[in-house]
Amino acid sequence: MTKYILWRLAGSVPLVLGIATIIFFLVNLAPGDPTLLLLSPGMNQEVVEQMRANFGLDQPVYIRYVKWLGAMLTGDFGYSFSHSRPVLEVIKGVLPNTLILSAFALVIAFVTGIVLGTIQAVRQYSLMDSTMSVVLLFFYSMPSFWLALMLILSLSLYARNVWDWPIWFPASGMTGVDHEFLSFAGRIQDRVMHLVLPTLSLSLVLTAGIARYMRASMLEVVRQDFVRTAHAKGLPERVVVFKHALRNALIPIITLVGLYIPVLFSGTVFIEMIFAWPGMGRTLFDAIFQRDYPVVMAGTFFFALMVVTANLVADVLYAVVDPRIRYE
Amino acid sequence: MSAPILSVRDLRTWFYTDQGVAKAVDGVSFEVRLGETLGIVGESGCGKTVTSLSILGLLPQPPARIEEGSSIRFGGEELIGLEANKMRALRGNEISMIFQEPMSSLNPVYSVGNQIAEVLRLHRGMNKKQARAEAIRLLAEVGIPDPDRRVDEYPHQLSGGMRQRVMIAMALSCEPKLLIADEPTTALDVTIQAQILELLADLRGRHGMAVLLITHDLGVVAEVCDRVVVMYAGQVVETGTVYEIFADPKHPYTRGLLDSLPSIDNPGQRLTSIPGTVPTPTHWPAGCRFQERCAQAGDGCEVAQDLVALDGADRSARCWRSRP
Repeated sequence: MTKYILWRLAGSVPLVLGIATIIFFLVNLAPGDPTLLLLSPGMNQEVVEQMRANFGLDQPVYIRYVKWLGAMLTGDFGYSFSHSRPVLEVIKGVLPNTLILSAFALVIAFVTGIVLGTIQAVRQYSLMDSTMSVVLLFFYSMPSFWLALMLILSLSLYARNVWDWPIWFPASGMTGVDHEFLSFAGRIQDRVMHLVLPTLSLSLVLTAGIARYMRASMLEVVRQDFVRTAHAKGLPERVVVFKHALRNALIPIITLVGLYIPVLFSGTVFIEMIFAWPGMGRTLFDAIFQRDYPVVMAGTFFFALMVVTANLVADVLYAVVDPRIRYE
Repeated sequence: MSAPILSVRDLRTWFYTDQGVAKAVDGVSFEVRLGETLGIVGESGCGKTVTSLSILGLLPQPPARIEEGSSIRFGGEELIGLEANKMRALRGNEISMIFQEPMSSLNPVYSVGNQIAEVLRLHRGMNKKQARAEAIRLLAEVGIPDPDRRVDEYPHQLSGGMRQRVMIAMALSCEPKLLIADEPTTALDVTIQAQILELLADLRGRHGMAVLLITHDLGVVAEVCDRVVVMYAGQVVETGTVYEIFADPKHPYTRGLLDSLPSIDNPGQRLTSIPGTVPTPTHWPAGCRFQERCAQAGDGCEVAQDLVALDGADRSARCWRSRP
């Protein structure tokens, strides 16, 4: 098992280097230049050239690439033009926020998706199954940014101002304005309340997809011979479903972890914009418009790194669930 | 003649499908006695597997339905309509079953030891440690070398023959009174087949259980069975001891089956075969169900035939030509 993990880890090193290279050339070969934003009308051409030289932009692209890669490998991602701070500091400030958001969304999506799909498969063709299919298809078809707006409208605005619900959820930020003055428990509650809507917006679409896959996978597995064997042993239905069928049905679902993580991260870009969530997605989005190359490159690189890590985790999960992979 | 442990009376298992009612098992009666091996023989689609699954109540209902008037009695207890929890207490405990495909009958994600121990913990109330020790003992009993190591292996690490041995160990774990073996050797190599049959015969002798062996292979029947039930198109067409069936088949279908076996006495001779295939269970032919494929069909075959008792204990056939 350890050998398997190390092998996979070694395999992802060239992958990460390749990604870094592609990111660098995509960003640097694109038209536009960070100095353009700093220019004032009527500025002297010499000053412009000086500014480009200061940023190192006067050198040919391949020299810049070697320097950038060398620096990056030592953990130096450069200096942000727009934040006027080292890029690593900028990323350090926002990365945990995105991780919290996506981790919650991911866990909730998979847990509820697996549970709902299993229930549907066990009660195939029942009223509950068909109702859930329709509801899930609805969420599956909706874009997450639209869902986010509808959630804000209903669970935040209307719940508070129109329906007078005792509970409603804040629609922006990670914390309330009074966060600093709350007790420890109060702060936790404040954070959780702020997490609800963005997490829901991100996870509902994924939940629906996972539940659909899970239902199909479970229906496939319960037809297998070993499920009949389990029944023939006299095991109760509960054990047959949750011990024998579920674990086999989970194998194809693990593929979805790797597939859905990029979807999730691109989702965070929209969701962080809508909910004013100070995360990587929003920072990256702003950096693109400010032509803040170092932040764009580092941000994209970190996203890529997280996708690679997630796929690694999916591969390890495969091995945990399926002994046939473990021994190859 | 010892007392019957299992007695099936007029079993009719029908499937309600979009194409109509498939009468897969249509009025089957037989009994299995203590300690004997009864073979059920027939082509694919004759209803022998559905019969065995009906006994354990393993068919999904719907689409399957066991019709009114059917009876399956096991040790004096009626199994049809038995409460689910009582049925579960019998399965794997008093009545065990092994299946055709050892490749897919074991769960690929659990070790074989885990799968055997599961039965012991469920029916015998053993704890983890006891169940594991007993699983190792069972693996040794079914002839698996190095059981201490094998107990922690997964099905994909074992050969087909080994997996079938594991299935047998699992089925025997609670000393069942009846073992149902549904084509236990069909998916195996010929040499492994012989070993598995030998193992089954040996274990039957040692544990004194009855075996219901379902097969299409008359060679297997000749080797291990005491009595034979021949099935065709959802019905029993002939019964008798192995000797009687092989020496003097009364029903043309049984004769056809025997003629299609290669014979060592006439090497190089072309094998005969029964023309056509088994009709579809949604539309059994009226009258004798075998008449379309029967070489001796004639007047009298258009009437549905009853199973008629012949000379000798348990000797019967469903053909008017065989009447005494």
